[in-house]
Amino acid sequence: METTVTSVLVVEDEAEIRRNLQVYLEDEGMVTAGVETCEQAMALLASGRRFDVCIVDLLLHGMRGDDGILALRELDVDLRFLIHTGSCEFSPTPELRQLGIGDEHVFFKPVEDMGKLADAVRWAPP
Amino acid sequence: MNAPARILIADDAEDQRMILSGALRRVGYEVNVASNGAEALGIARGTPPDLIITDVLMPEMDGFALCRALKGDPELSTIPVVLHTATYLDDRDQDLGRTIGAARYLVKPVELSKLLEVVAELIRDRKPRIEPSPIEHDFDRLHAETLARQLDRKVRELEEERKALRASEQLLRDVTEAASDWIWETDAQHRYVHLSERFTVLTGIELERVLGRTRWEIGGQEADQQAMAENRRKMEQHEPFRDFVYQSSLRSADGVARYFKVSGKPIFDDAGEFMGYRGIGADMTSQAEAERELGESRRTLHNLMENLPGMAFRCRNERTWTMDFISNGVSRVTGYQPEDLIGNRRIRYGDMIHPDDREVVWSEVQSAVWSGRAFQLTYRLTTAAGDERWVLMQGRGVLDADQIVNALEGVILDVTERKQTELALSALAESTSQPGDADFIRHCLESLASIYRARFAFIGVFHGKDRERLHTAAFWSDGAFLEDRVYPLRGTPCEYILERRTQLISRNARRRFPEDELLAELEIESVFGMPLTSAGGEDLGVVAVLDTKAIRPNVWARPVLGIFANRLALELERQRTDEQIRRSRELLRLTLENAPIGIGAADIRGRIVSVNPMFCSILGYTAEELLQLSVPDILDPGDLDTTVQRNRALVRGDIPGYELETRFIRKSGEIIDAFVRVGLVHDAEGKPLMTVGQVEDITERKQTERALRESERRLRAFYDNSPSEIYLKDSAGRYVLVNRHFEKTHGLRKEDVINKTSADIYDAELAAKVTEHDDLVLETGNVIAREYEVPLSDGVHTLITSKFPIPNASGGIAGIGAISTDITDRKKAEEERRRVRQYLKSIVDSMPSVLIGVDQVGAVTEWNKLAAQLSGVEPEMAIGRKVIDLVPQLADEWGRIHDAIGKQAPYKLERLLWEIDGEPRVADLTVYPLTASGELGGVIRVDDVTARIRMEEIMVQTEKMLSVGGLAAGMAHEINNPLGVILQSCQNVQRRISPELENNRQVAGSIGLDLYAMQRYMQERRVLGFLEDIQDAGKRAARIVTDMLAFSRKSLSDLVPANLHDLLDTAIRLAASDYDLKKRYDFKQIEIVRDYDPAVAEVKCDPTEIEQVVLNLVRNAAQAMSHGSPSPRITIRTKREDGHVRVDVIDNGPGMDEATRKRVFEPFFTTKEVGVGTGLGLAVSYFIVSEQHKGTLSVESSPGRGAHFTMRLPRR
Repeated sequence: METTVTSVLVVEDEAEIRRNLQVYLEDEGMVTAGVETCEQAMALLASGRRFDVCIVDLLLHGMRGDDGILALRELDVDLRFLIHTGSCEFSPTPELRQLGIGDEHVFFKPVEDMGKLADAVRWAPP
Repeated sequence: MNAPARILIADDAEDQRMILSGALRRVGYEVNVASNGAEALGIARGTPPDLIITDVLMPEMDGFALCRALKGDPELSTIPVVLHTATYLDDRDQDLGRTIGAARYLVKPVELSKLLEVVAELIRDRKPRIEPSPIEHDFDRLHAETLARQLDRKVRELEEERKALRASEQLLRDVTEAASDWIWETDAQHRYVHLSERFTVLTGIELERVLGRTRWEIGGQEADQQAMAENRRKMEQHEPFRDFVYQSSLRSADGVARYFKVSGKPIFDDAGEFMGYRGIGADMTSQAEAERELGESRRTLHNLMENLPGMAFRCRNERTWTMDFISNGVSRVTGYQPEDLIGNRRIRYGDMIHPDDREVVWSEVQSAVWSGRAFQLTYRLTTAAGDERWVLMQGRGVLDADQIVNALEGVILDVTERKQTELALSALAESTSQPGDADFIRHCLESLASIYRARFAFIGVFHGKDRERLHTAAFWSDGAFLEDRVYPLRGTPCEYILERRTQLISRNARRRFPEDELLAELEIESVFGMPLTSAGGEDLGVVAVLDTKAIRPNVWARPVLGIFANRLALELERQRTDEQIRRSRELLRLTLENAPIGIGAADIRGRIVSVNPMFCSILGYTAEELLQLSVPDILDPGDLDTTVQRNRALVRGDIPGYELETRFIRKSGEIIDAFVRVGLVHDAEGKPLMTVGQVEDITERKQTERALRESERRLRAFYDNSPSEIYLKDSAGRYVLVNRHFEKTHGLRKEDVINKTSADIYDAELAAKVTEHDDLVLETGNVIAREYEVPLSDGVHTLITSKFPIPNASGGIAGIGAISTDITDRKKAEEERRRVRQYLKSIVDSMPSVLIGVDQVGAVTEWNKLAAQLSGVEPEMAIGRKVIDLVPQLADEWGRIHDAIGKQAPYKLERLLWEIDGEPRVADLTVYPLTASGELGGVIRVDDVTARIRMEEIMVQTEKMLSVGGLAAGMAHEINNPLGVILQSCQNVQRRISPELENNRQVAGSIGLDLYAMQRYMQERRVLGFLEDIQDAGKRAARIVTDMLAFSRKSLSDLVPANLHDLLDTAIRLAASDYDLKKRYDFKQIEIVRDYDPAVAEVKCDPTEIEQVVLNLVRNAAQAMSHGSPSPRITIRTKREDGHVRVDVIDNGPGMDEATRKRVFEPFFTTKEVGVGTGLGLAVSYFIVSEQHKGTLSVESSPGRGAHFTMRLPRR
């Protein structure tokens, strides 16, 4: 695991969006991986891959994003999360808040300027 | 001088002492008093006063002696002495006073103020004014001379006194001549040890009775104990003494207690030891007795003079009556002081005598004195004040040595009162004994004025019932009678007199009755008057005397005026009675002359003795002819017997008079009907004198009566058969006639009603009403009709009664007549109709629609409450007028309304746009044809459905929004994802073509691409612009989704209080920056008017949401005005309303048409060019206000008139 380059896992079932995020973050000098579902993300972590930050969509096939965050956290207690949702209103649940996820970690689609998202990745909760 | 000045008063009259000491103490002097000179001297020596005021004539030691004693004492000589005497005797007395050192010589009575002035002056200047007289030895001479002169005068005035004084004088002289002294000596214990023989010679008392006793042991009971004690004190202190006079207890053989005068000096031996006294003594008994007597007679004379009710005088026997002496009384009688008169210094007595009396007085006196008689006469004097006094002068001539009368002396007494009384009584006697005539009252007045010596007198009488004014019956003024005048009573002394029954206002009358013009005019000072009262106790008027100076009443003033008043009242009554008798005689004569009936008198034998003109005219004879005839000559023979019989009974006294209808034969032979009333006249002894008959020609009346009787029969048939009640009443409201119908309906018989009033047959309420209306007719003479609810035998009926006045012969109103018609049934029907109509009217009025009844031509027949509200015209003004004049909005529709009425087919028109009070309203119009009354007509119904329509609009809108909200919630997610792709892709594209990114440069280098060139290319070809467009579109789409989602949001329960005005200001600021930024146009050009109601404070709301609403409204307004509105203005106004806070946003932009206005809150409805608005701003605002805040948001606008948005938020 590198310590100088930030690694980001993007959990997003819409490929175009996933790709856009990854491209942007990579252009920002980060290392990214993308999966379609929480289950895939869990598998990836279970396989031993480690990421600094995980960006999770909420409405996903299979496990919902918020549940996924809790599950992923079980696998890697150091993993930090950002939520990227197509809903217009979402506020982190108490469980999520316990993990240090606040309103400032929630990004509503469409994110007009991904620079803000990239900043949030850098400053995501430990 | 700090201590108050001390003044010593010596006066033998206690009242004088009190008056003086009181007056002096009041102004702060300390005062001692003494009742004689000796006492005064003692006090003065004990406590020397600053001033001494002394009477001259006093017992023991008189004023002169006191003054001399004071001046002789070195310690007291500087004390000023004022001689204050009641008796003026001679100028030389003053000289004596001055000689012995008196500072002033004042003659009583002196005004206190004058006295105080003198006192003050003397105390201020206190110093020895006159050195002790160098001619001390002259004193006795001068003193004796003065006294002798005084005595001389007095003696001459009163014979008795003169004799006594002469004897005293002689005695004094004898004693003085024979005077010589004895020598006495006492031992150290003051016991007499030696007396010369002379003592026994002079006193007749043996030496043994004195030797061995002290002086105080031989002092008599009546001796002045104080003086004796003083003498003893001196002797015990071994002081010398002089001329101590005392009364001893030693009596000479004739039983007289002796007076001794002693002087002595202490004797000491060589060692200076007191040995006793040695001195001389003299018997002073005769002298003292003489002095005592002299003092007493002086006092008597003094008193006599002071109390004389006039003055004693001595004058030269000349026409000027030059006074040599006149006693003090002159000031009381005439107001002049003796010194004014003596020697004619101020006035000559002769001039004081009334001019009319001067000659008489002079000649009377001269004739008396020349014949040696005493004179006694009464005449008038004019006083200093100008008054007139009556005096009685008694006296005699004084002969000089040559037996010539060169002086007159006597007394003059003031007899004014007596004289006035005399005059009053004689005037009274004269006036009241005079037979009453026209001048009687004037005589009385003249007498009154003269006896009260008043300038004015008047008698005022009341005329008739008028008690407010007096009419003068006579007015005496300064010797003449004034024209009679009318004198208003209020506020005058006469009013006062009438109230008090008698009144004397002795002074200041004008000040007390300032309203009285008469008093002012005549400058009246005093009024004395009494009411004039008739025998019956009625006030007839007032008699009063008035004067310009104070009236001084005397004892007879009231009784005499009373007698005058009584006599005058009698006279007034008599005059009135005479006048009445004269009038009634005249009246009687006129009555007879002008009587409309014949009056004639015949003696008991039937001869005609007197006839009046009418009597002659009835019978066709002249008076002269009739006086030749007897009663039977003119009577119809057929009636003669009856008349003769009646006449006999009358003369016998069986009957007091009789009346009958009889027939007379005129001179022409014509027979006439007459009504005759005959009475009997008795002579003074009560015997029958003549018969007097009144004759009335009733020929015509007889005929008329017959005609009347016929007419009445017809009338009676008429009204008795009338189906209406008919009655007549007299002026007192009593029924005099009722018809048969009246009897029937009331169930009463005529006899029960006639002479009764309404109150007797109806209850009180109805009777009062009937009477009131009856009175109205009686008063006004008008015909009136009134309705009554009358309880008749078969229940209550409504009667309409027409009442009319019944004229009497003189044109007045004798009573009323009435005809009643029973309208009970009609009344009931009317009542029912009115009730139904009222009921219908209230239904129509309570309808929530405008209801207007019209006839075929459009005139209003019915007009309900709402119609009145709509038009502002009240029903009574509307009925009959053209409906289109009253409701101009109907003018356009009238053609169709008229058609509908004509065709009898209902017609309905919905959603008419009306303007009411400048506000656009929506109305439904319905026309219902009517044929009820046989004529064509219709009812126009107008319903204001504006509220309903608005409600419908709101419901539709809300419905739409909710559906949009639901839709948005469902699809937001689905749209956001593609939007995300679009926007993020754009961003990545932009980044990856940028030459600034290292990776880009590497990749481009590896393929030989010049990124900068590409960048420029993309710029040139606007590729970058397109990318931006894509981004903008995506962003807008994202905002639409967000806005749409707002509709799905639930209302927030937790609204917070926020300051509305702050909130508005924020929104305005946001709007301004918003537009500045985008440069759509310059927001600064818009005038923002804030009209905030200070009563609006905090409002419970979601501040962000409301801010958003206001921002939307302001932004909309600004956008609406962006196309060249001239002087654009947005007014933001707040207002506190019941339960709401109202916010108005008003612009003066182009406004909108109705179609736009209706849709303005619809989602996606926009008038803005594509891309400017989302079409959701107002819809969202509407939603926020109505759904989330339970308020309302509405808009009023029309093209060209701007838009006016109104937001109401509940205040809660």
